[in-house]
Amino acid sequence: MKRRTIEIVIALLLLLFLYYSALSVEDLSQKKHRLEVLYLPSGRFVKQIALGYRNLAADILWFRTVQYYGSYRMGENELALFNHLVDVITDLDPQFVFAYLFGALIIAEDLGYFKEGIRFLEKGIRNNPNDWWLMFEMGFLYYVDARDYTEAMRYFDRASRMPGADGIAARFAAFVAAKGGHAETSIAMWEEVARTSENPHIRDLAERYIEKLNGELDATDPVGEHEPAKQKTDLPRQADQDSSVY
Amino acid sequence: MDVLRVEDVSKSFRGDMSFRSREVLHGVSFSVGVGEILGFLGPNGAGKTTTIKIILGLLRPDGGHVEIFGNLISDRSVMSHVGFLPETPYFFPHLSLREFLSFCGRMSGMHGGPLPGRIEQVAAMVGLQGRLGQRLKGFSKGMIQRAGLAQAILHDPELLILDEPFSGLDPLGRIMVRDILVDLRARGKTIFFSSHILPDMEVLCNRTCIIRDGRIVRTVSLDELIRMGGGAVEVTARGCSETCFEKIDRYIESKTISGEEVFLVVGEQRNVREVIRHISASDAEIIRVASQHLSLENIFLNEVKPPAIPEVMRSNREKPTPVRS
Amino acid sequence: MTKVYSIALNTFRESIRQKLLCVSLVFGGIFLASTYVLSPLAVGAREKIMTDVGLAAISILGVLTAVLVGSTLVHKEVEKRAVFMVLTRPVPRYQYLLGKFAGIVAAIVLMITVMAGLMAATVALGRGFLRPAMFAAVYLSTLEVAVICAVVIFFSTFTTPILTSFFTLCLFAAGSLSNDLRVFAEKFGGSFMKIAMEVFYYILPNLRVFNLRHEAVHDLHFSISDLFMATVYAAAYCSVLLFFAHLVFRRREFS
Repeated sequence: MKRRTIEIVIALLLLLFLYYSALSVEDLSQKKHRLEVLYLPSGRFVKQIALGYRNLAADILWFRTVQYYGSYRMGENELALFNHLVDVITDLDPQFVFAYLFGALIIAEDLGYFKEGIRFLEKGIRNNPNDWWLMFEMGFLYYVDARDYTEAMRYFDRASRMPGADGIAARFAAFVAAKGGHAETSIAMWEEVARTSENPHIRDLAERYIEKLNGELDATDPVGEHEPAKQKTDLPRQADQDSSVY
Repeated sequence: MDVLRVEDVSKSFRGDMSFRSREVLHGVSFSVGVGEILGFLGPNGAGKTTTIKIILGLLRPDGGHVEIFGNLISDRSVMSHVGFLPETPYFFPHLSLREFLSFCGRMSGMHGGPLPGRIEQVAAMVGLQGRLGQRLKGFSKGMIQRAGLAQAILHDPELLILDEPFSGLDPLGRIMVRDILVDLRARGKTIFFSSHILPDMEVLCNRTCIIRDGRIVRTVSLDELIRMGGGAVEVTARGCSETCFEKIDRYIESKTISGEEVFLVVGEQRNVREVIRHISASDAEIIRVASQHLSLENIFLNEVKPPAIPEVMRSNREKPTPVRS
Repeated sequence: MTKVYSIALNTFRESIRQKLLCVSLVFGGIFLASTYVLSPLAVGAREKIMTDVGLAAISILGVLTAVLVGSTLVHKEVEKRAVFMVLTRPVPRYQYLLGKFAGIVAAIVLMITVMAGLMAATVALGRGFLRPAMFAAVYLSTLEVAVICAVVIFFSTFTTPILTSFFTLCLFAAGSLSNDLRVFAEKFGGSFMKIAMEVFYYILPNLRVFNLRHEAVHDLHFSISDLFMATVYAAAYCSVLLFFAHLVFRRREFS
């Protein structure tokens, strides 16, 4: 009994010693945690050392990236290493589409590096040429950040013609076409939306846009020199499968 | 004072996958006095090795206790007076014999100075003097057994506990081990060993404990063994005639005929002369006359009844049938 | 103490004569030699790559060798009853464990020293600079290996080599991720989750503190007090594990 008591006391003392020594290295540990992000090796290297578990490594890094972004929102860091993190993740798992979408948005919006955001999305498109979301976000960045409506229209339009694309892409294409001064193209796009959408609200919305754009065109071209918009557009259409309210 | 005292020791084991425990020792008690050699005899699974492990503190008894030199074995310092040879020993294969013995010596509390000399000495005793630099992984089974004996006697212990010391040895090795044990006995060491080799045990032991199903069923001393034989004499002769048999019939206890030879057991020594006279008179040839005592094997077989041998096998193994006169 | 030393020496001899240790060393040598041979391809990053690969090889091979040598050595002795040679003598069981631990650590320290020497030689041959941070990183890797050895000894007192290796490698991985789980629990988890993760965090070895490889590669500042704290932490972790190993081993029966 006495021996057991001594053992319990020793065990408790040792655990206490461990706890305090663990606390004492806590600062060091957190510093290392930050450094790990700072000195995360290149994606190619991580890919080699992750052996066959690249996706798992990408997931673990993704988890860290989200945390890292969370800390930025709480004002704990400057997000300086964000590009590198998402780059490594997408090197490890090139089909991780959401990482491209999230990464490009943060790079362009929060960090304000539009070109880097675009380059990152281009990498995504190279690796996932059939994903309409990436193309759509490309258009979105051109539209929101660069105010380059022509480029935005081009990407939205390409997105709308990709397999599985949401109707939103076509509508955005039509919308930014008008914004960019391509009224005829915009009208043609809205007409396509009106023709293919199964949603009566969307059809109604499209028709109102067509009407508005035609009105604007008439005002700028009173002698009626402009040809019907449908004939001016050379953009082939694809059926709109969606019925969202956009 | 007893060197080793095992008092009412019981032990049970629980199966790997079940909660039911199986009792393997039921109140085992015996003791070994100074300078005595006690043999521990029993069929496989009787509890010999379990008892030895409890004595050495490798297993904890459920009940009872073990004392060595009057101390409980929980006091590990007592182990410096004990040498142990495990059954089918396995040692550190990457070490040389010298490194191994040096390690064992240090573990028993021996230090620098006399240790190298002692290592040479015990290696010579077990016939491995030229092998001290060789790694143990190159040793044969017999050599390992010798190395095992060397480590057991290295620190000159007062009590030797040997689990099957003769297993794996060739006849020469067996004789060597026997001689070492006889020598140790002569030097007053106490030895407790288990073995299956009954003649060796008969030659070496002052007493033998027979264990069966976890119980000591009998303890036989050497004197008792001789006494139990009752002084009978075995006479082997060749070419005995029927007339001769008729004349000696009243003196003999049993006769066994094998071809031309006949084995006669004469119950009382005083009748031997008469039997020999009758055989000689009938022109038969006397081959051998030897006094007979009850062998340990007889007692062992009597205590530990062997399982019945199937009929088919028995017909091949049967010896000449003794003819009871 | 002489008995602990003898057991350690015996274990050290057994370990260094095992093929596994030699194979690890050969692998490490190949890694390091390959960095020297391939370094012209690294253009400007020649020295960085040499140090990177060298330190990574030391850490990874050190941990793997500790796991494999440690788990088989102790278990085989128990399984084949070579352990009886010690436990049937006047040696308390804790001394056996301490000796085993010290012997395995010593063998792996020798391996790490040889590899560190090779790394230093390749860096020097590549006309790079040998920085103090490199040696500090090697020292911390040694502490990491010591902690892993203690984990291995702890598990091998009650389980098989395969499970010992598995548990140790799981602990190694979990130890590297524990901070993430803790941060996650802090930000998003409920109170139970927070407490559970906090407990996990302190139970699992915080192996991050033994990683000075980044600093060594990029010649960043490191403080001696960090090394000291890491040493104290390693000592605490090893003591706790060896003590619990002793509690298990003291009660163990050898049937």
